[in-house]
Order: sequence, then structure tokens, then C-alpha cells
Amino acid sequence: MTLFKTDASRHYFKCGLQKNSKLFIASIAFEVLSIPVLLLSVLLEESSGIAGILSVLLYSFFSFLFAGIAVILGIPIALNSFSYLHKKHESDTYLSFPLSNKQRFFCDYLSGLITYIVPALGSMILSVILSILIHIKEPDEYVFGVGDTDYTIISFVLKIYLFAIICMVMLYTLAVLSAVLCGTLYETLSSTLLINAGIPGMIALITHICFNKAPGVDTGYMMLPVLGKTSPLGAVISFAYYLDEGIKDCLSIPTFLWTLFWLLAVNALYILLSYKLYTKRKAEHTSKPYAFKLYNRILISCLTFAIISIIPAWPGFFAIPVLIFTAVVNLSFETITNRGFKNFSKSIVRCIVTIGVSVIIIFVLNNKWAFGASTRVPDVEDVESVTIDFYGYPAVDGYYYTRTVVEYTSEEGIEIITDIHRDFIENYEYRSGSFEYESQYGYGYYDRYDYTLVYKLKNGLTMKRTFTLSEDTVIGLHALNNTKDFAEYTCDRIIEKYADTNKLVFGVKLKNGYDGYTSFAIEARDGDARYLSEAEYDDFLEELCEAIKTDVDSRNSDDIITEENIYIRINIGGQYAYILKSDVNSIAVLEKYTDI
Amino acid sequence: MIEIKNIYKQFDDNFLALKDFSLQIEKGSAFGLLGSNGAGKSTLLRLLSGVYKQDAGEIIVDGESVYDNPAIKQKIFFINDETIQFGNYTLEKLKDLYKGLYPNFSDELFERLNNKIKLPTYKKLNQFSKGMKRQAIVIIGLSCQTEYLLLDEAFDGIDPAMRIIVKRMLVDAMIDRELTVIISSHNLKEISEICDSIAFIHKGELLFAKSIESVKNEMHKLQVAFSEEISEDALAGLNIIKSDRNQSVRHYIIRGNADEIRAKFESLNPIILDIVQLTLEEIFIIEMEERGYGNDAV
Repeated sequence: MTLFKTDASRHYFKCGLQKNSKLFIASIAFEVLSIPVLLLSVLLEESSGIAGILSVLLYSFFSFLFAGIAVILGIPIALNSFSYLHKKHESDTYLSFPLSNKQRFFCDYLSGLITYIVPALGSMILSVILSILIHIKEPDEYVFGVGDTDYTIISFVLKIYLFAIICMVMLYTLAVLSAVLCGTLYETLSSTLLINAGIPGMIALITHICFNKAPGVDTGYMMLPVLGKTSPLGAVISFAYYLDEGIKDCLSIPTFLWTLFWLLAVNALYILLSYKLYTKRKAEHTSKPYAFKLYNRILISCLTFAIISIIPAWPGFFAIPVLIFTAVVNLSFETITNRGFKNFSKSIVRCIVTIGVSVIIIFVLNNKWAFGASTRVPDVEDVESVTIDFYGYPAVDGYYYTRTVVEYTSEEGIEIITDIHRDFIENYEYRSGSFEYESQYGYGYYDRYDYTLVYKLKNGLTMKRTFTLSEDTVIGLHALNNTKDFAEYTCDRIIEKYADTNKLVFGVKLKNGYDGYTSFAIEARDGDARYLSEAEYDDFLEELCEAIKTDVDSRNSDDIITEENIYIRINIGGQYAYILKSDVNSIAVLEKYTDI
Repeated sequence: MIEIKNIYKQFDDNFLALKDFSLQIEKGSAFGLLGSNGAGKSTLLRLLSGVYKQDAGEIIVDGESVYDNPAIKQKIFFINDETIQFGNYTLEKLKDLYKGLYPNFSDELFERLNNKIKLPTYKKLNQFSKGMKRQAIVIIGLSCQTEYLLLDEAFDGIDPAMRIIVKRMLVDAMIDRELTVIISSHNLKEISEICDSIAFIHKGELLFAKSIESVKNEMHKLQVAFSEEISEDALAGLNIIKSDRNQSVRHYIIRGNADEIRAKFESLNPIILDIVQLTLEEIFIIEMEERGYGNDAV
């Protein structure tokens, strides 16, 4: 490595590690006290009940507190590694050392990074070992489900650690960037906080301004891809969102590695930016508030922009107090930066220009159509898949109770969805800031149904649209029940629910006394059960699924789920799948294996 | 050799610290930088040590530019006027820090120098007095055995007895290994004791750079008394910088050749004529007064 090609740079690097030794010890202490001790207490509880479940729960609070402190330590470590950038008495000595700027920067960066990350890696190794022991002890208990996949505690802990460590690297890099951009400790600390909050904040703000009026556009989902790659806070927010929603299987190996790759790539850009600015930084900027005036202007402008962005939300007279407040905040920051009222007339001019430009940008961006983004419906050939979160199976009483999330990959299914989407765009009505279809019932609450589409495009991008449909329009979506994708979904649910149940017992109920409809459930019922062998049971499920797929494929547009058309319904866990009277193959299989 | 060619250095507040500054310092010389506060001496030393980067012009040391050049910076050791850095280090640890950075560092020389001033090696520097810290960094700087040693107010805080020892160390290094020393100090006595040449800087500009001997030979203090009044015209042709009179005794500060000045006055038959060489401090004050610096106070 050319960086360490000289004895001096190698020695300087070692000195950097020594300089951070106290913070290193503190980091080790907090890292060990965080997740590893929590997992140890879980293990002890599982092994012998020594820890006690209450103690485990109580310790989890301290565990996350210590983990938080260990993460925050990245900031003091970065500041300590580059202390000479803020202390005039150190800058002469450090900058006169026989090192190039490149050697000095990367030695300081790496020594600080090692101080920060090595304890985290140690903590990860410890935690993974403890997770293995917990898994051996209780293989089925600690399983984390994300989307359609379950992850063992080992996989879960390892992935969360890897993600956290990459975020920590980015937090450290942003602290280094702040250290380079500022000339005093106070400004560096405040700048680190501003950068970490400002990057995701500005992304969220601009996305909101651009798309908040756009019908069907989910601004949260829109910003997540950028938010999740540009700052540690944004990455944590988007990762937590994906984990919670489970829409995008963020822990599957390809998605997870892709996330880490992006974070590392953006981090590399931040390192490069820090280094370039470091080489441009002048020694005389030490102990001045900001080493680069432009950076100060950007900070003040972002703050001004953020405050002014309130105006579109409450237009009218409210704009005047907001503008006055913005000017006060802007000029206060100018005064703090200039350490007084030096060149105050220039500050006033800058304030007026910043406010003016911000107002123009906000009103240009706050476009009703989001520059065409909100009205865009992708072409069928551009879509790889589309996941629709909707009321897939209507209940026979005419209402739609159960949400269904189905991924459509067939051209037929995608076409139906894009047609519905296009129809929504063409018929939407803008009224009092909300977007919805006008139905025969007006704008009442009970006849509205929320639908969410997530397009996965062939160019790698995703697109999410959410809108509210009336019951009339929902009828149009019934065609989706007759697609190959929906049949696959139904079969998957049947297998998921019944494959692992008691295979020796198979029961039917011919008449449902509750609602008077013929229904079907694969569960033991006294008096009307038929006993199948395990092999017969497996054959039954397989044949039923094949028959459903064949029947759905041969349905026509009249074969929709209506009271008259339903032959039987199958409980598939929280909702029902329907076999229509026209589904001859499915009915034949049911008759073959049951007493229906 | 150090060649400074037409450098400019301006700070953010539009303060022009050095303006079209050129200077040449020969290897093995002891060079003193003189000037008022804010003249640009420390800025010049920071430029020479590669801490600052000049806005224009060139600083060439042994044929190469200094800034961001580790090979050249290894030949230069800069001692600034601060004493609060590395407070948590012991002298031993500080030695280890510099030993790894400067390849010619000599443990033997360090031991020898420290034996002369006997600084505690396992005591933290923040427990040292100001003078002890200065001594510590000077012996570290000398032990690094660089070719150039830059000292900014290096003797500040050192007691008179120890000053003599430290000065001897410097002189020994200059003799032993042709060390080039560049000193910025307001203590002109020390500069005149150590340095062979000086540069006089004022408001970022070089006024002159000469050997101390020639500087001293260019300005003289005279004490003269005449038996009878002489007209001022009789002294025409002399470059009189300052004059005053105490009864019949007149005092002059005159710039010029000592022999010519003496001849001129002797032609006027003085009853007393003493020509005294000015100290560097006196020359400095006179030069500063000539440029209007601190006229009210000096």
C-alpha cells in the first residue's frame, strides 16, 4: 500500500492508534456491554433460568443504551484523530511533520476508523458466537420473520451487525468531513449533527415538496432508496421501514449485499470528498469557525430553505411571519459565524437572496403533477413485476375484509394492473387536497378501499403508488383473481396453511350453519371427517393446486367471484379462496378426496 | 540552500502577510529574522516548514518545493512559539514520536543533550515549566539531526543560565554538521550572538538581508563636542538619522562608512569624538522609528 510506503507514515499511523487508545478502551467497554451481554443473559436464561426473564428485559434497555453510546463514540474518535485541524497549537507541529497531505489524512482516517470499528467487529464476533449457542439451545424459538422469509438468530444478528458497522463507518466519515470543513471544535460538533440530520432531512423535505400534491405517489417510499444510501440516519430509517414492512426482503442475501454495497460506495464518495477538501484546506483556517465559506453558506441556506418550506403547507397570511422568522434565524447564524456584526450589511443582502431563491425553488418544486411523475404509468414491457396490496378476495357478503399482497409477474396480470392504474390517473379528482374516485356513495368512508402498487421495473428501479378506489372500481380488479399469478398465490397459501398440519386427519364441512353457505375447511371436525393416509393427503394437496391453476387459467371474464358463482370457499388463513362453479377440475379433486 | 522567490501570502481577512518576498539563505548559516509584531516572520517560518502554502511565488529547499513534500520536510525541523502541545506525553514518548518521523534521529545525541539540561524523561510535559518545555523541544529538534532548524521565539521562557547551554548546543550543531538555523526572535542580543546574517522584515516586505557585521558597520553612534559652534552646513553630506544635544555634547546616529564619518568630523577639530558601534537592538529600534513604527511609544 503506497500510503504506508515510508517508515514515517507507518510510524505516524501507529502514533494515531496510540493517540486514540483511551477512546479505544471506552469503545470496547460499551461494545461488550451492549448486545453481547444481552445475548449472554438470554443464553443464561435459556440454559438454566439464571438471568430471569425480567432481568433480560430490563437489561435490553441498558444494552441498547450502551450500543448507542458505542455508536456515538465515532464522533469524538474522528475529532481526536484530526484534533490538529481545530487546535492552533497542534496544527504547526502536525503539518510540519515529514508526511504528505495524503499520508497524513489517510493515516489519521484509518487509525480513527480502526479505533472505532475493531471493538464493533469484536462485539459482532462475540454476539454471533452467543447466537450460535442460543440457536443450538433453542433452534425454533428465536426466529425472525421478515417478509416471507424466516431468519435464524445467527443470520439476523450477523446481518444487523454488518449493517450497523457500515452505518458506523459512514457516521465516522461524516464526522471526519465535518472536522475538515470546520476550524473549531464547536463548529465541528454542531456541523456533524447538522450533516447527519441535514442530509436525510433535506432529502425528505425536497421529496415531500416535490410529491406531496402528486396523486397516488407515496413520498415516503419515493425517498427511501436515496435516504437509505446517503446517511447513517437515513439508512437506519429505511432499513427499519423495510424490516417492519417486509415488502422488500431486506435481509435476503442479494438485497442485503446490494444495500451494503451502496452504503460503502456512497461512503467512499464521502471519504474522497473529505480528502479532496483536506488537501484544499489551509493551515490558517485552524481556529476559524469554517474552513470553507461555501460550506457555511450551504448550511445557512439549507436551514433557510427548511423553514420556508412550511409556507406551502399553510399559505396566505401565515407566509409573512414565516418569512420574518426565517430572516431572524438566517441573520442569527450569520452573526454567530461572523462572531459579531462585522459586514452585517452583506449578511442582510445574503439573507434576502437566500430567502428569495428558496421561495422560488419551493414554489417551482411544489408542482401539482410532480413534473409528470405522479401521472406516469409504466409500460407493461418495462415492468418486471408488480406487487399489489389489495382486497384480493371479496367476502360473499359483498364487502372486502382481507388484504392480500400478491406479486404479479405475468404480462396478463401486469396489464390488468397498469390499466387500472391508468384509469385511476385519468379519472382522479382533486378535491380539498385528497385524491379519490367518486363513487355512487360519494366520498363516504365505508365504500373506499386503499390499494398499493409496487412496480419493480426492468431498469432496477421501483415505483410505489397508493390510491383509494370506490367499490365500483374494485370490481375491475376482479379480473386479477383469474390470473396465473393469483392462482399461484392461492396455491402457495393452501400449501402454507395445510402442508404441515396433521396429515392423517382430513375433514370437510358441507354446510356452514353460521352463514348458510357451503364452505370447506381442511380441519378436523367431529362426525364429518374423512381420514386420509399421509400419502393420500399429499396427493390431494398437489392435485388440488394443479386443478386450481388449470381452472383459473380457463376462466373467462364472466367468471368472477359473486354469490351465484361460488361453489365452495377454502379457509386459507385469515381469508378465503373461492372455487367457482365453473372450476370443474377443482371440484373433481374435492369430490375425489372428500365427502363434499 | 533555501531560495524564496517572490512569494505572496494573504490570509482570509485580506491581510497581506508577505508581499513579493524574496530571500536566499545559504546552507550552514545562522539566519535571524527581525521585524515588528505582525511583520510576517512567523508566517515565513511556517511557509519554510511546509505548514502554509504560499499564494504565489516559490520556496525551494535544496532544489525542491517544500509544501506537501515529505522528502524535503524530513530535512526541516520547525519549533513554533507554542508550549502547550503534547502535554500528555512524557519526554521519552515525545522522543519516540519524533524518532519514527525523522530517520536521522540520534538517541545518543538526545541522551548527550539531555544530560546537559537534565530534563525528567518520564514526567508528563504538562508538568514541565514553560522553559523546560522549550528546552525539551529544542533537544528533540537537534536530535532529529535535520539540515534545517527553524526556531520561532525558541528561547522564550528559558532562564539565562539554560539559554547559554541551549545556545551552545545550537552552535555545536552548526559547527559539527553544518546545520542551518533560522531564528525569529525579539531578543536581538541572542540573534546577534548566534546569527551571522539577518533579514529585516516590515509589513510583509523584506527591507534588507545582510550579514550582521555589515549591518552594524552601516550605522554609527557618535558623541562629539566642539570648542566653538559649528554650522549645520558643515555636516552636509552625512546621512544623519538622528541627532540631539546636551549642552556642548552632541549625539548623532549616522548611516555610512565609519572612516569617512570620522574623517569628516575630525576635519572640524572636535575636542571630543567617540564613535561607538550600535547594538543590533539599537539598529532595530532606529530602523523601526524611521518607518514610523511605535513612534509614540519608543
